Amino acid sequence: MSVGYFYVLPWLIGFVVFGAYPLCASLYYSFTNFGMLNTPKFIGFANYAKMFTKDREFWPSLLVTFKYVFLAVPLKLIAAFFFAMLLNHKLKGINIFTTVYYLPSILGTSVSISILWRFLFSLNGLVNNALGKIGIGPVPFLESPKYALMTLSLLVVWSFGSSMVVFLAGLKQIPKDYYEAANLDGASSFRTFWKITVPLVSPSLFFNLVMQMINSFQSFTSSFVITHGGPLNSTYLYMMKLYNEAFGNFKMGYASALSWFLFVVILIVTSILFKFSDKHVYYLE
Amino acid sequence: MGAKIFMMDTRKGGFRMKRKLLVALLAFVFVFAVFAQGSQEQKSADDGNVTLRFGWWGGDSRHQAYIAAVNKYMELHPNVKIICEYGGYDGYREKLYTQLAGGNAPDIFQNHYTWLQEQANMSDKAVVRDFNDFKDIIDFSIYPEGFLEKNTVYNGKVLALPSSVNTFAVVANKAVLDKIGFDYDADWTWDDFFKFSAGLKAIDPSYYFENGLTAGSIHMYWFLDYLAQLTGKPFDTDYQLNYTVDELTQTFRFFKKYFDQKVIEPLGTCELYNGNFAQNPTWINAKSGILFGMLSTLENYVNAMGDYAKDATVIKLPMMKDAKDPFNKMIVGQCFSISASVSERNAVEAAKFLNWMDTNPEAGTILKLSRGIPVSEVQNKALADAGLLNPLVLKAQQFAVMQGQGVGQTVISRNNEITKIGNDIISALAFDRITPEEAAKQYYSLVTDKLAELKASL
Repeated sequence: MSVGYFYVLPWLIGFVVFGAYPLCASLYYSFTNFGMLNTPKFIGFANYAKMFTKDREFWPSLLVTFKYVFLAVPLKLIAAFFFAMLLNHKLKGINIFTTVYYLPSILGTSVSISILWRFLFSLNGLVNNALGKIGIGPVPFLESPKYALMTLSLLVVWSFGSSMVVFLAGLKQIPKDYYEAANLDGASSFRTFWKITVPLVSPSLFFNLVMQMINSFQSFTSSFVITHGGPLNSTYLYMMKLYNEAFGNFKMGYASALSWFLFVVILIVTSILFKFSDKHVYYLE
Repeated sequence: MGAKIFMMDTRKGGFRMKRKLLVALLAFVFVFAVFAQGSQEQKSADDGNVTLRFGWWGGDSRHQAYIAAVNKYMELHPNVKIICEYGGYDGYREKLYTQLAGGNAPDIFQNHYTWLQEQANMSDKAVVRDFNDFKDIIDFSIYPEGFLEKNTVYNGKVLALPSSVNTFAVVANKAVLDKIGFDYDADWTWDDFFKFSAGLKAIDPSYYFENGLTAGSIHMYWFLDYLAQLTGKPFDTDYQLNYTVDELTQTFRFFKKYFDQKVIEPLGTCELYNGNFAQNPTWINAKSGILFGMLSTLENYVNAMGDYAKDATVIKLPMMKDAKDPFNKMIVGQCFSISASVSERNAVEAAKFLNWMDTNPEAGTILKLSRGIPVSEVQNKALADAGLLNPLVLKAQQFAVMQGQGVGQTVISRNNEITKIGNDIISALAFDRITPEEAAKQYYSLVTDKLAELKASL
């Protein structure tokens, strides 16, 4: 038995050092006044009380984050599912298209892509130049509080490849018999799609929904690099707020409390989704 | 057999043992997390060689200058190896404080004189070395009387050594301002922002009189400048805001007009160039007339002008008629500290390097004006003899001296939370979400509360 532990030791050490230790440390710091340079002093629930009652930025940043999640996640899933449906055909060279559509998800929302996004969508950027040629704009995609959050969401939507691959795998698993039977019964494409495809791809949809929701709640890079939370705090995501408290205001204790609150929020939302899945996710036996 | 090792041992006793082990492990991690202290003492080899890490922020011209200075020092001191760690200002403070908390900050690092108070007050142990410990190495005579006491001494300790002096400066692009017959040596007022802006817009609506800053920077510089000139008072005295709601209202009314009359690009556009104002295409393509900065950023701003660099000049800062205070003053430019986690041997070598950098004539000519004007008169003379005193920097310094020494920015006025309040309210004003009157009341209320909170946390 001890040999087994020896084999998992590398992973265990990594988990303890990079996972469990930071987790436990942040929980401890959330009850202290730790400010990076001082010795932490226990202050009880003061950080949590401040969060809900005194911090003028807390609720707005949470609201912005919820807006971002409810904008980015559905759009990404729709895009991913749409392209997965297109790619679910046996055509020559279809794998090349699959690869091409997957590539953006490898680049993701990294710093370099965020900088590229800023150049693309600024007033003098490529998108406005193209729109200008057909007499539209310039549109303040990143400069206006009305459009900035949506423009950042597009960056997430653009990297739909990983979700698309999961959908594609789910689509390929649907037995062809169902479609043949539906065809024989005279079902329309629309009816076939809603009554066969969607229910049977629901496990993949559910997986993507949960994973993308968790990722989106923790979005930071695009807001930090492109808009710095502006304009007018319209892209001041929760993680930017957390970063600002930790590394701008040097209130690591308070930032730790914020991070644990986010954990609870994600836990609640995920639990609601799992409860929802009981009735709406169908697993093939 | 191998498979059995990995199968869950479901016998009653065995399962309990696994769970107990897991719980014990997690408890140990938690306790360790509570009591773990991070501090590292650097060790030097006993062979006489010393390796130092040297960190600073800046633009390309400063990086090149400092790397050249480091290489020269290493040439003169073959037993010393200096590893340079440099980058832009954006994110520097966050990275530095994380390193200080982890005990792995560079041996020598660029500090900021407004950060020293929090470093002295926030920490219950020393974060940086006291330069009084190196009195036999550092030539303190280069500093004017009282200069250190006013800027880098806290609790009787010299926490940083100023390497240069700095002051506000405004770069102008003659290729733009010649179009409106701008007088580059004349005094000009805050209301002239609108006159010059209107003049440029009449020629071409795509021109802007000023290359805009972010809301936070507008607060830190123009906003506080206007208030100081209006009232004659600094931002705060002992954590008490010195401005009334009426004074704030008048100031916000000015900035409302500043945004409405498009003196700068829409604020949303300016925000995209946070920390890199000179990279704004409006500046690079000579579509804006002036850019606010410091003596130490002049070179970068001019370099960013590309083909228009030959049209660069400097102008005075705007001054109200009957201004009660000029606000601007000569301040500490670059200052450097030695990390407290450094070994004594490394600290001594670090002090020697800093002293060479701040006093040696050759070091002065290598660094040129990338850090601002050197504190050392010897270095200034060396620069003058070598013809390296950038005429624009000198002219900007002369303008600052001519306009007088004001109250300047207080340490608290640069606090991140205060700046965020200013940023949010100025943004709301720019985007027409609030009136100047509402802005003044909100600003007064939020800043007063925040100052009380900051004082209570001392």
